[in-house]
Amino acid sequence: MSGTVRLEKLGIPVALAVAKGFEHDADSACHVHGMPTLRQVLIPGYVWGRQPREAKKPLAISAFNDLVEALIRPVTRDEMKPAQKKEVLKPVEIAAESYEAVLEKCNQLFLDNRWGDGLPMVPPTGERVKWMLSGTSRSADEVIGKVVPGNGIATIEKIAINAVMAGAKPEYLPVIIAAMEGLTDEDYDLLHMQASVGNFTLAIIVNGPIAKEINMNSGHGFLGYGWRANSTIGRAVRLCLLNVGHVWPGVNDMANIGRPSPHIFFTYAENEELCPWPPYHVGQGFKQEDSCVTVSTVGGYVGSSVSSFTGRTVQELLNGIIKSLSPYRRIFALFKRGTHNPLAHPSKHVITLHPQAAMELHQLGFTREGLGHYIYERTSVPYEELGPEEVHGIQERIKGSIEGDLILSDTIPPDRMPVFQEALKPGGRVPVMISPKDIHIVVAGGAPGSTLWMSYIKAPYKWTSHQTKLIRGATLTKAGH
Amino acid sequence: MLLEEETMKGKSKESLRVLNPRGEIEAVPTIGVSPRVAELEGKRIGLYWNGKPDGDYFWDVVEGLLREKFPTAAISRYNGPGDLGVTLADKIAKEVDTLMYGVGD
Repeated sequence: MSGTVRLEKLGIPVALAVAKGFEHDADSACHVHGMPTLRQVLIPGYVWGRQPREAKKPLAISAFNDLVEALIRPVTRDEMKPAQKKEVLKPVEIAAESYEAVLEKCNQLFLDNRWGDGLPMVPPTGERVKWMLSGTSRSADEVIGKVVPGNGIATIEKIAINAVMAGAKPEYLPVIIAAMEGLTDEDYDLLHMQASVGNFTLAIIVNGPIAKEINMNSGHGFLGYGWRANSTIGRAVRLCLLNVGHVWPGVNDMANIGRPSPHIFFTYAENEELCPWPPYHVGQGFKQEDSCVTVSTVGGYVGSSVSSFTGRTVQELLNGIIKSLSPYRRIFALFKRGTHNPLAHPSKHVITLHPQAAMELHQLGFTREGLGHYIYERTSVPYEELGPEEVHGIQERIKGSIEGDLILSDTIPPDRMPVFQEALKPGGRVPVMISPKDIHIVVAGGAPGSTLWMSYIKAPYKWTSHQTKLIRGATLTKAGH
Repeated sequence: MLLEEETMKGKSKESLRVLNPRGEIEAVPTIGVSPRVAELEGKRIGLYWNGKPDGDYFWDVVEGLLREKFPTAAISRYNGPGDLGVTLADKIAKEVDTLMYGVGD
């Protein structure tokens, strides 16, 4: 959509073809990009995928006249000078006969305005928000960033309002703020997670001493119910994304099934007590005594995007991981320049080992980083085993990356280019991931345990879908100052 | 937004004043669309697709109809990311008079 605006600004009259069901999405994107009168033509069906060539013919025929007309019908005065729209965000007064009736009315009003996630919420009164803000020393007016697709401004106060609604406690607020800092980081591709038809969701992983202080579950059933910190930190992030980012399912959040764990995401802490390695955040450049939040887009419902590994022995587990990741070699042959095939995008993996597996791997001599490297090496494909279509696909990806005409999902970044160029020679091995850093090893769970595997493709609009941020400004915990 | 009708203070026993959870959006300066072309005959028409699988089938039909109905028009096909970016936008702007644009999602 933004590409259309780009061309219109260059003086090129454009007709934007919009598939049925995406009209609200396109409309809201037009407003965000400042061109609300952009000419859109509704296509009475879905344009890409899932249908044979013949099925697309009637769609094209029925839309053809409208597409032509959008290019030649003279523009009106309103189309040339569209009015500016601004939402006024006033506090809301709600009154009723009883406390119970006020509570019900408040919840219904919020849902009617699309300000809620479908579950009952705590009314964000001034007093309650002030209480929430007591958890941080940071100014209520401080701006954290903008939340796409609506580009709403995330201030500490807005985050606190949504944290109240989620049922969080003030001591959780610094964790929620840090998660929002990760998601609004200029390098983080939040748009794909918030808006894509792919049912991507979030992992929110907390490290450091604050996790224990606020009683986060990192052990048995770490993705289960019953833990206030896990549940409401995740829910506060959900409500921030919804309200500050101005998204709504089927309007501009186009996940075609929905996002797994939509109300609280996958929110948990690393089990540092039973982890044989330095905590995860240390490998991301932080001090052991720091408390941090990692946010990471992970897949949902498609293939093995969220799954678990088992294995009687740790070697069986390791073999299972490698066996599951090896089919990603499909990206070699499926890649074609000028196409945008999600199955051809390289991947990212967050593998959460259960503590016993981590300990046994540690005993075998693996470090956390070493394990990522091992999986990366073992899933890479020897040059001699590649078929001609695979070699062609890799060569084309290299060429397209150098010439800069690929989407980011398909692009090999300059620092990794020598690896791929060297791999395409006798004796070389071509990796199925861009870098070993695309494998993130975390430890959580109890005994007995299972290993959780969450995967995602390389993000299409920004360079990363994974950020670790320092928790700071905490006033009610010993950690996170 | 459904706000005013909910204000009943004065008639009711209980009331709550709650803060607005929505993120404020900075007013974006609006821009109008470009003047259209008078007709398509003799024009350079671009068709842009972001390359999602099988979407080309749709644009193949559109291209065929354009060639049939506007035989003197020159049709160019382009593929690229959802947002085509500055370089490709500049290139296309030099090569076409008007364009039909589709993204897969």
